[in-house]
Amino acid sequence: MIDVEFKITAERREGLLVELGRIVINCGYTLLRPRTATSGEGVLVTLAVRGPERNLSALSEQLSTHPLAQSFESAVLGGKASAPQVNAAQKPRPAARPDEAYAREVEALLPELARHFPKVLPLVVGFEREISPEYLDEASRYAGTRLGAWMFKRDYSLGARLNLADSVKQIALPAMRSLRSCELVDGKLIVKDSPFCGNGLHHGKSCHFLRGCLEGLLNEPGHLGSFDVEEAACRNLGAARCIFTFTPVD
Amino acid sequence: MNEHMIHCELDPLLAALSYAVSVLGSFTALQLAIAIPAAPAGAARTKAVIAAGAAMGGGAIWAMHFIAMLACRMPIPVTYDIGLTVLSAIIGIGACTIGLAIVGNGLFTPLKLTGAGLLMGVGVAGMHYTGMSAMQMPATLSYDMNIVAISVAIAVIASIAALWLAFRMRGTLPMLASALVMGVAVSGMHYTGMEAAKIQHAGGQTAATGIASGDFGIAIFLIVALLLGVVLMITLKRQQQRAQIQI
Repeated sequence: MIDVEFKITAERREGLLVELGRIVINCGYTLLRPRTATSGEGVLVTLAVRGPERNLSALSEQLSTHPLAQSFESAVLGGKASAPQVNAAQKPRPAARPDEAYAREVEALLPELARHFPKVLPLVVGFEREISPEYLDEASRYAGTRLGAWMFKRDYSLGARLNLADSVKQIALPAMRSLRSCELVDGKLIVKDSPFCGNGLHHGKSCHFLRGCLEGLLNEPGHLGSFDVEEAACRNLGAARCIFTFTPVD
Repeated sequence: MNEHMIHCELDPLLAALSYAVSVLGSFTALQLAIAIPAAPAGAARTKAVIAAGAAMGGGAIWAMHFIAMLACRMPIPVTYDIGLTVLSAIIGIGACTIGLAIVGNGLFTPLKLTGAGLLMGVGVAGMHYTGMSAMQMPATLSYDMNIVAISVAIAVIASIAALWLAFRMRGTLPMLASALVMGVAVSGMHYTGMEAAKIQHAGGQTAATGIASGDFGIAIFLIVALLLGVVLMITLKRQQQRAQIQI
């Protein structure tokens, strides 16, 4: 058994403790001391828990990737470690926080994406038709980010920590190929005949879902810092192909 | 002089088995090794490194070497010095552990890959030549140093290629290719090293204190069974973890 303290910052308090508590219990842990406090960054939840060491990585994983979590730290308590083991640096930067206006729709979409993966196109198209146009771009990108992060954790997390160029080649490219035919040219990812181009719903560059997927795939490892993915050309603007470029965020 | 030369008659079945064991050991070790970068720093990472190093040094290299020695039939009795035999295993496991720790730590760079491949290659060669020096037989053993150099080069280059495939690429196929290449590193080094060996009859008796070749059978069987068990366990555990990942 191991005692661990988690510190999680979130934007809102409503339902947060219940959701995090459920995760803790599902991982076989007992909640010892839950505390919440309001800070300048939002709500700080401190959870002291006790449970089997073998489930610690699964618990940390689920807490750190919870959609409401903005930052995440963990520290082993008691004699198991001489100093707190802080994992804050491993928390990947979320590309965007879900706005209340579309968070529910995205959360409803995500399990369906996972269930039908890689045949997600009809689901994405259906989602983009239902979401309010005001939030369409942002919501599509956020859903893509979550799918990309999930793909990374599922299929690409084992292996060396790669630099950006290799990450794009060895992780982003094969992952995106599971969704759509694409290729890598001069470090740019090119998608031919992308059906994710908004289907007339978007104005301007429109492959927000694919852009989010790439951001999720590249930002989830966390060791490279953060990257923004830009769509340099888009079929929705008359280009022959959709081209994605990768820019480090300072 | 040449009439005193002793030639090794190779049993093709055991030779093939030695390659298969080196591939199985490499596959197990690399499956363990690719989890090193993601393991939390501290005890968990140390355990992952040691497990991978032990599977590579003990399974892929040491077990392969002694199956290959069983495959080499000579018209003289051979036993093995216990101390040097244990030392050969320690060299193989130690070099592979350090090599995998280097390549699994931090950002993957060509320098780290080369350093790790060099250590693993030297580990393979160190294990082999220490294992050879453990041989107790009524014969003298010398080497053609040019072929020795080639054998070490094979081990280093193939180790670098195997690590590159295993760590940089993702998926089952590159991992399988990596294990096959690592098998070439270990077996290629061994059989080239055997070509470098010149065994000449010296008369006298074999020391009675060593381990007979046949006695390695049980140890090798246990290692192979353990490797298969570890592969099965890793596969099942990763399948379970993969299914539990939430989007």
